[in-house]
Amino acid sequence: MGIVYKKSFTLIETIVVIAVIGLILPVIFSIFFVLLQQQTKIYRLNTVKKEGDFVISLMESTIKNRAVNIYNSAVLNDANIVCKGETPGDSYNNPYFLDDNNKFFSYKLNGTKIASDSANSVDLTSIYTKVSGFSISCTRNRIYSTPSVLVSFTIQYNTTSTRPEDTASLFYQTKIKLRNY
Amino acid sequence: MKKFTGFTLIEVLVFVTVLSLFFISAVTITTFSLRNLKIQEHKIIATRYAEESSEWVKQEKEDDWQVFASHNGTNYCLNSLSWTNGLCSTYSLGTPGFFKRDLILSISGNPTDKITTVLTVSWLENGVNQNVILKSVYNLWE
Repeated sequence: MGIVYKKSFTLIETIVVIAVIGLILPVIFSIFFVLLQQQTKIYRLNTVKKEGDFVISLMESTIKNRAVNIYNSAVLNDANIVCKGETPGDSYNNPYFLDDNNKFFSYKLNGTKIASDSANSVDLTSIYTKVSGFSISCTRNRIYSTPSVLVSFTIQYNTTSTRPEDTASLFYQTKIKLRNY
Repeated sequence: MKKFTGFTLIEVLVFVTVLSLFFISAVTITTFSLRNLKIQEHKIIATRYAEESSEWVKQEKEDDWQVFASHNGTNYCLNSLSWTNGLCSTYSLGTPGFFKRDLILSISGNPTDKITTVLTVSWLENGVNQNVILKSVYNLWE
């Protein structure tokens, strides 16, 4: 009887197996990575849309239903009334609105958040988003027409990354007519 | 004496088949859900565009009913939020251009007192047309 060799894999077999595993694993992991990335993107887009929708609908309902006049500062004085429509295309940026209880309210950009400012300032957007290009102005073309308020802003997810997979940004714009002017 | 002879060809074949079936189904499911997520993402953006144009149409209506009702064509392209006759020919909405936004008007009454609008934001997802539709009705007296 000669020496009994234990059967085992040859070098070639092992190399082939490792090569196949090395090909399949990266493919599987990259698919999962893209899946995860896509889920994050949707989550961010959803957050941005939720906050943007909230702000625009709040501004629309308060300005449309509660504002009775427009002022250039929170001081109740007839000289401070703006957007009277005495000249065509009369407009004013960052106006203050007077409500039916003779209280002022306004909307402004507080850092990267939109804030509602009445008796005290309240942030309407969270730290997860940042707002840029916020603009609010009133215009009135004729003295017998009601003024309208133009609002526009860009809201994006608060991230330092600039890669398109990580960013989520939406543009909002609306024009509101004062119903109780 | 018991001799270990290794796997037979049949055994190896069955194992490889089962394993590859498993992997193929896993990858198929994953890519399918990935595609769905992509559609979902575009749908969120498309909904925003649709709402934006719906706001715009409402402003047009509130600004001046006569001017609004004078748009007696049926199809308009609202890619740039202005009255452009005919349905959109290019997917130029968004950065980079990916969506298109069409408005279909139907006018009723003489003189016009009711206008029905159908806003469609559509895009191509791997060659398949997807869309978000918003319908609204505008009356003269409201």
